[in-house]
Amino acid sequence: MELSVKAVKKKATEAARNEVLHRTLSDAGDRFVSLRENGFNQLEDPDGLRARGRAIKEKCLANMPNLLRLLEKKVTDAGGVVHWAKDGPTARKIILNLARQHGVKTVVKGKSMMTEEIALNKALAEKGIEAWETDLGEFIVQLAGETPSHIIAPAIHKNREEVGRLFSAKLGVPYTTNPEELTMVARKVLREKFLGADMGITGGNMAVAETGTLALFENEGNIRLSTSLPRVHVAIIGIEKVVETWDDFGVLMKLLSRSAAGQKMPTYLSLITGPKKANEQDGAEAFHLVLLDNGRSRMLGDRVLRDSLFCLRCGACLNVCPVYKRVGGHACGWVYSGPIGILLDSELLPPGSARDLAFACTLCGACAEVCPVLIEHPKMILDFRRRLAEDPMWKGPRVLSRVLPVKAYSWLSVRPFLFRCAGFLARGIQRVMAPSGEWKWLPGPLAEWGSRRKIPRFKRPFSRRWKALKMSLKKKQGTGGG
Amino acid sequence: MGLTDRERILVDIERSLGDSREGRVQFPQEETASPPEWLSDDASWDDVKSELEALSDRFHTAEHPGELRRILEHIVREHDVSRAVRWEHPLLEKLGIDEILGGLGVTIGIPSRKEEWKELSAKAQVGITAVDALVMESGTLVLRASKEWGRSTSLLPPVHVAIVQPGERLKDIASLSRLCRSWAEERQGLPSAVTFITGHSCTADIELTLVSGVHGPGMVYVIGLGREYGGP
Repeated sequence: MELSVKAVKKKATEAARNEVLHRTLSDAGDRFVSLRENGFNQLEDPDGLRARGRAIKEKCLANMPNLLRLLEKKVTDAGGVVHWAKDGPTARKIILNLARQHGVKTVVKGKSMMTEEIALNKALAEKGIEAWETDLGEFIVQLAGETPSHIIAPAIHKNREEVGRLFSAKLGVPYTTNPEELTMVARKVLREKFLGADMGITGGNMAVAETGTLALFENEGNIRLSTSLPRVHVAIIGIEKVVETWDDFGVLMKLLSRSAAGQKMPTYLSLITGPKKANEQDGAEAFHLVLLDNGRSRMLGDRVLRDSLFCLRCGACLNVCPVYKRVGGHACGWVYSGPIGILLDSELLPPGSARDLAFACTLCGACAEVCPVLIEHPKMILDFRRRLAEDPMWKGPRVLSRVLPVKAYSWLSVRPFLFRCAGFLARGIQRVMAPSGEWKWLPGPLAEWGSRRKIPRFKRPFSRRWKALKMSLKKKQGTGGG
Repeated sequence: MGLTDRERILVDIERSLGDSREGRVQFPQEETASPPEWLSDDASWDDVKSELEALSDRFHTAEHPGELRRILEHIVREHDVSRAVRWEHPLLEKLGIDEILGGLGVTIGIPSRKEEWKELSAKAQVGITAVDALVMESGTLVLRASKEWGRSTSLLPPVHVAIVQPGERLKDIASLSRLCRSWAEERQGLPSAVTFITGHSCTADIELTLVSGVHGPGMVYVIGLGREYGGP
């Protein structure tokens, strides 16, 4: 998968002009922020817990090969099968083979960013397998032919009117804007799918190596249904999701549920250890765990950027990001969005294909303030930019727009006469081409650049304006005194 | 012969760790494993009541059989129940759940005794279970899967009723991970599913409007057994 810079810019431009989207994202962001604050305020030592969470991730990453081997052994001991996938195509092939072996016709899916990452739905459809997203938000975006725009709230960009029209058109139900009625429509449609599905496909929030247990967090119950009713359960997780012990899990569980939605605990936390045992009533008869690398082992070798592998996917950094709140998740162009998306997309996609995303950040630091495992996104994004600037492959096309103006300013600023001449010229040009402050009459490719910017007016040098300013000040003081 | 994906991934991780291990801050040693903290039988139910009510679910204590009957009768009336399913669990049999509900005109199904457990649970309006533990700090119910204790009983019906004995109460959330570890040690592994349930199924995926019962039960009743059952 390669991002088209042009397409990403187009999406970002459209999103930046969409006032309804801004309101929706801003309201949602504020709600999530307040929920998170409440959740963390109930803790005795939230910063201590965050530091412990980070130390646990640090420990588990440093010991990853042994933990993955232990996880594999324990899952196998419990009757499950572990598959290793170096990349997305391999993971798709593994899952399609499993579907073929088990004679699968219908799949129900729990919310999983991993299956988005490997574009699984398209591959299943090409093989004639009916796949249903069952998380309500995912179901909505699937019906709309879109992708999720937020890690934990996939349809956050859609308002109730849009969902009402979508359900009416695609499911043939009467139009309504009542969220409760719309939710019950989804329940009815999806309940039938759950009862008839052959395979459930989920992601996983963590995998506890010491017992070979997969942990899944949710509020809806669709993941419980996807793991309990179909005869086959396939879970796909990134290799960085492995933790060593139940103590590690306990700390990260607290952080994740509070950071995602301010909850002490998610409504449902399913701990799956292999397929159902011979003496159990229900559950999948076959359990397969796919461990996906897809660039993660490469990230691990990067001293700075590897910290993004700590991410618990709580979405807190998106909710506070001023850029995300302005353009939403689709503008990123791939699966992950917001501050963590900049890092993950840039690292997990082929080198160079998402490089422009590094500049979609104000470096305000709000993301680092809220991260439950103390990821320092701005520092990492800055480092990423520095690397890009040093990359000759990337630098070339940017010389005109970024490097040249800075060099020109540097050259002029030590030549006062020429600097004044340039200022005189700039004021003249601005008066003609941007009388109201907006650059409307720029030629060629500069036109698009100018259409999105409103820059302050060039002013005469302060020394020239001083006399007039002084007089105006005296006049004001005189009026005030009189 | 080339490397398998498994070998390639492990080699790549080792190589990457070799590059980046140097200079990383050492992580502290974890505290030693401690056992889960169970509450004594005479501890109060107050904390869990407020937790569950904050989640818009219901908590009742049944001090004696008459009270249990009254609570179940209220649930049957409130949700217009004609079909229920329950776990095949000694506690539920001892409490005479079948007799109480049968007397109210409710048909009881026991999925573990049926081939068609899925359909039976899907058609029921109420699913009745016991629990392995209840966390007082959060109102979390802990349910382990077994032959008699199916996952679907607490999942498919629109209402879930969980009956808790006083000795099944855990103090806090931290005890949950300790509980899992101790079960794994005692029985050399965990069952295929351990489920933590905190409140009822809900979603806020449409304009962040909270809606109950999106896929699982829209209402959870927890009944704590009191004096005559050995509680506070």
